[in-house]
Amino acid sequence: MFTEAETETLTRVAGLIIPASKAYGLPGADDPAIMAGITISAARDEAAVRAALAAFAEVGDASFQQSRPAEAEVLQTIVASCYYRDARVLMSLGRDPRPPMPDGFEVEQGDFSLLDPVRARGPIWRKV
Amino acid sequence: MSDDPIDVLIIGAGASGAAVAWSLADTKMRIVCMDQGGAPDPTQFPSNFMDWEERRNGPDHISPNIRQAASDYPINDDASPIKVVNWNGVGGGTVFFAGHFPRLHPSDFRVKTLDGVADDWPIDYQTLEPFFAVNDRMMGVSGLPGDTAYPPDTNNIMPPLPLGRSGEALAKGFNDLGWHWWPSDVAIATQNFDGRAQCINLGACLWGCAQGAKGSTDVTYWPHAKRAGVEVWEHCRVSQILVGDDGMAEGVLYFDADGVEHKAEAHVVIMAANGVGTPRLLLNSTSKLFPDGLANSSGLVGRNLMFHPYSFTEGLFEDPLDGARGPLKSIWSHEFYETDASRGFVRGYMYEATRGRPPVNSALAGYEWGSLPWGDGHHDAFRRLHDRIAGLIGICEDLPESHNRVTLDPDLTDANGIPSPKIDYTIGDNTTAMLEHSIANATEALKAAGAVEVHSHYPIVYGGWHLLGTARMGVDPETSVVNDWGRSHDVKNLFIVDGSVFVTSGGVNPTSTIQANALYVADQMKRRLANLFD
Repeated sequence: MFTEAETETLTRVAGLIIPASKAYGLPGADDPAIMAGITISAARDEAAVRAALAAFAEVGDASFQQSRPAEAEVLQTIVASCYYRDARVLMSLGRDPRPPMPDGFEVEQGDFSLLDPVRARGPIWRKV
Repeated sequence: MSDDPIDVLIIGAGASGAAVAWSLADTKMRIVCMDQGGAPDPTQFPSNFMDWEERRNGPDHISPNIRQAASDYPINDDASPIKVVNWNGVGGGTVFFAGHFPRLHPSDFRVKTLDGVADDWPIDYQTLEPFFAVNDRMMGVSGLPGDTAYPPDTNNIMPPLPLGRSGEALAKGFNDLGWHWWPSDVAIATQNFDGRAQCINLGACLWGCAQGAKGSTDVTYWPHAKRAGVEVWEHCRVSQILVGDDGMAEGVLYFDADGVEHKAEAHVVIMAANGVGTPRLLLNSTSKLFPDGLANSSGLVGRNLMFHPYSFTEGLFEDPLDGARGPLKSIWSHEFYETDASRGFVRGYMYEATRGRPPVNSALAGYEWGSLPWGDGHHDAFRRLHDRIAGLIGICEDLPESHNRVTLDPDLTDANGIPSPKIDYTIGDNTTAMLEHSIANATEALKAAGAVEVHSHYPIVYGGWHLLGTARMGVDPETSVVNDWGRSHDVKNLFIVDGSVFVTSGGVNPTSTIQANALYVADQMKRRLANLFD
């Protein structure tokens, strides 16, 4: 379990990593619904997150991403993993807010006549 | 589980175990396959859930050391730049594979003769050709006949996967350079086939196909084999193969799901536990007759481990591509597969195209590339990544080197106290040159395809999918572990059918060839039933 202070720091870092955007009408990663997921995910890797939060406290701003890349990776991975499954975020990207299953996706067949020059070149396998 | 005598005991229910079981079912013998895991539950695969991308980085991770499921065993791969990835249970690695299904080339079986390196196989492409065809039908292979990189003999069962935007862009790039490309052969059903529903482009092949379109053996071979009478004993972890005073295998010791040890007697034992699991078990099966491990008079059990080191080059495009929509693979290129002395290395590699990345993984790529800042610039930067990434993976032939090996860890064990495998592996100079060549050419191809930015690295650390060479096939008992039809030189009722028997690795995904070889070994056994142990 994270302490109250650690949870506050985690929320602050989340908002720093992905802030809200008026231009795109998006919440930040410190949005309560997104933070609920971040907190659960962070608890699965508690020791590493706690160490990263302690390291962040020494720096205190976005320069942490460059100055402490290993610890930053721990935090940004969790934040991005939870942020980019939020329905509001997915819809703003033009995606349906759903998992891949059961509806799947459409993919264009593409132009198979692009193979014409490959066919024209002939076999390339090495005969034995 | 009856106590009736077992005629054939197969260890491992993955790619090769399923194929050999299905083929031998013709004999009406009592065939039992033990696996340390159970059957996968497609309703629990990550793609059923909103947090599917996160699950695959945790509880559904491809590494057993990270996943740590009850069916997994830990692997000490600290001394290897490439980590072993697998799935333990019915279906084995095919549950978590991409379904990419190339065959080895004819030249792969003759590398000593052609290029003066490694060794020739004791069998050739023509030997396996009929079994490739049977396997394509059983696994349900989709593709386009006529690939100019192969002999004109393939007969794909279903139409190819869609090229998609990414496949088409990459194809144009290859065409601009005059390089070979072709729609990939894949064990993915593009039509309803053999009880399997067709692919609906979930984009999560590597973490189990919830649709059942991908040809993992739990949905291909196993239903047929079970209907023919083969028994699958799930959650049975074999610890040791037992031998009698006559030097013949008598059966196995195994632990059930409750950790209780049992003995099962069998007339024939077939190893199908992959290129790490098989040598692990053989090395753990010591006895008065076989103090250095079973079937190891050559000293080669566990040696010559080959992985296929991967390079990974990704391009960032201006226009939207497929993202993660669609199967992971679309097209391949064998342009640099065959030896060209001017390249500075022998043998070669294949490219397999990757369609793209889903949102979370796009963000993680952005962080890795330094393209995604914290703070106000995040959203604009992310939109430059989203659905705009496509890549080329270079799968490089790994030559056999004796020092690359699997041994038993002196300290680490699994939950049943069985010693864990320890991997000692380095990437050879020839392969390193190949990896660098593959990145340079992938960069050129991606730029030709329209990429405005390219990022690359090697090896893919969690890329130890292909576990090959650790119980090689050959005619000389001093330089090989099994003969030219998969039977141990030392123990005449012990067979190996997994990737351990590969003499060389080729530069393609090996599952098609592993399974074709398993069917070939089964066929040889059936032809020799009257004198199988002579």
